[in-house]
Amino acid sequence: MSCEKFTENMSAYLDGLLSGKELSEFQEHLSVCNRCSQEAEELQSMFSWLKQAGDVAPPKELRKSVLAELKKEQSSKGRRYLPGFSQAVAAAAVLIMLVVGNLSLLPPAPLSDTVPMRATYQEESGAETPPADAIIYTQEAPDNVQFSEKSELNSAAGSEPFPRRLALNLILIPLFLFFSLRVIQKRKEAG
Amino acid sequence: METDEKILISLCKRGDLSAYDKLMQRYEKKVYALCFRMAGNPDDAADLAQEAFLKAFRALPSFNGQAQFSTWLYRIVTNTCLDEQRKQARRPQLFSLDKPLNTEDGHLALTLPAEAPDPLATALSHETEAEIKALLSILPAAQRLVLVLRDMEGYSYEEIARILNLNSGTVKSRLNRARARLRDLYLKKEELFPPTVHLKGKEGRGRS
Ligand SMILES: [Zn+2]
Repeated sequence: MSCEKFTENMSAYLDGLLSGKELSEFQEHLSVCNRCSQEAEELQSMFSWLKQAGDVAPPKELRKSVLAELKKEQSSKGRRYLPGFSQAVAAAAVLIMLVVGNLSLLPPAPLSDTVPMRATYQEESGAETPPADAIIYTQEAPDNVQFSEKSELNSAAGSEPFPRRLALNLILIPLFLFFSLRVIQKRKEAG
Repeated sequence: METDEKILISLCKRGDLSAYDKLMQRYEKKVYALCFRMAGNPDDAADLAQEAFLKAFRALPSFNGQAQFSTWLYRIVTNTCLDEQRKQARRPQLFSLDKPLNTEDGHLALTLPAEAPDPLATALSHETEAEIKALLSILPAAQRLVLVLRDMEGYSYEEIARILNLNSGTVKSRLNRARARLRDLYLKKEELFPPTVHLKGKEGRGRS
């Protein structure tokens, strides 16, 4: 029988992976074939030569340098590691819009009710003194003055603020719920 | 042990670096040894091991636990090593033993690249170790990899197949070829490494 088949199986034989008929055939061949038995011996000798290779130890600073690199990456894009951070920011922004929007679209009210309005203006502008239009508004409180600036958008509705409030809430509340759910989802994903 | 590792992995996925330190501690010896056998020198081995650990951390979110973590990690390591070999194949070779030179005084010369400032200093003190390194570096990277995994690091055929994403028949035939090739070199090593071997630091003495 030709040696080729045995040469192909040499590694499997040396690793003890042959069994049954394959093994007995191989052993039989080795006992009659000088070439193959020499090959097997040479390989065994090579294995013991390879085993003389000493253990290698990783450098002490290996892990340190990996961690230093990762720390740099984390601080440069730190937000990635706060799961749901951007969704939380979006939810908070929508919540602010909801509060501010509802307050500024309060139904027409008596003069005394204009005080909270000022507060919202202050919140938005960050200034101590309310902007000019706010002052006008607080001075001449009559019904539709407060909508004069947006009257071209709302000529049909006239002075009735409820459709706009309704629209505002219909858009913003689901948006707020959406972002809030995304925050929860992201935090769950992160474990 | 297993659940412990799962906990470490989930902490790592959340960006916990001290958990990753512990995880690396478990595998750094094997990872580095593999890189060392593939690269042939400590500096490149450290670079490869570092790169592999960085890649692994970045890829951890996609590790779903279907494979064993060690298998998954070693696959990243072997890919990193093979990528580097591919890059190096475009650069000057480390040893030109394929075409040994006969110098004027009749001895074999090994040509070492000029960028290694002092090859003898970085060579391991043990002569056998240096021989093993030199002969391994002649094997094609894919063959060297299976041989290192099996005959130096002691992985089974099945483990190697999983790490390299090959079927075990391919592993068997590749290992067989690698061993046959290394055996030829091993038998010739007395010629390749005569006691009076010359180490030339200059480039240009080697092959064109
Ligand atoms: Zn034979």
